Amino acid sequence: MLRRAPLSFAAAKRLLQMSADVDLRSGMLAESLAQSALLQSEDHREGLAAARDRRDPTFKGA
Amino acid sequence: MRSSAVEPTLLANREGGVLTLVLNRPDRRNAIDPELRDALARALDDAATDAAVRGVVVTGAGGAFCAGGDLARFDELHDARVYRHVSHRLTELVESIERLEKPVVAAIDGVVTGAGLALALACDWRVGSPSARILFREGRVGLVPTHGGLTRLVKLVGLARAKEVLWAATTSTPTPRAPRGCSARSLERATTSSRSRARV
Repeated sequence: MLRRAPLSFAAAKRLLQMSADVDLRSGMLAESLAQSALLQSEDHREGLAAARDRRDPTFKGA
Repeated sequence: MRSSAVEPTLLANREGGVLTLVLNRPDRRNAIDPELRDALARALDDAATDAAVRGVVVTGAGGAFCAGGDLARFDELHDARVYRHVSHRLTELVESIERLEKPVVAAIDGVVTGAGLALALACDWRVGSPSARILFREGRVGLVPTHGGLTRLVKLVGLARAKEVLWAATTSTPTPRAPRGCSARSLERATTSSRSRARV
């Protein structure tokens, strides 16, 4: 669990908790807003690079 | 353009009242590019108004269901507004399955992940072949499931099960060692109210 990218784990946890309480439309808007921020993270770029190089990613929470 | 004129990215075949839609980009594990997205949207729209169609089966070609959005295209989506605009169309496609007032079955063989999983979760039933594998791989690239991939999962299986499925395993092979709730079969059981007769 701790090897996961901290920012996406954080977002996923909040989204999961929220999903139990809100309607689908609100949930999907929150997913989209979170994703648009995560797409600009260094960890996302590192994850893509690692996938392309077939190596384990090193995430730093930025 | 891709070789779409030669091989369509979506195959449609009606037998009796059942329309089978085959996602057909096997070289990309049937990842949904804009062309496939639009073709699927049209096919579902037609299915809604065609009285000869009584039910729809969505499946994938070449031993995969759907690898979601095309990873090769993610580099284009770093602009937040562009991402939200583009992804909204895919979200709408997933929602159109729930608006279609006919039964829709996801027949899953091989990998289902990303937007493909959101698509499968929006169907009324999911049936998996023995090789069906549910992968939440967004976390590996620092992202989260979208297009309702998280929200629908929670609504279908509950919060505890959703966390288990999302975090307990990165791959979800239906082996005895897979944590409870993490195999395709288990998710199929958890999210399906009755067994479908659809065959992969």
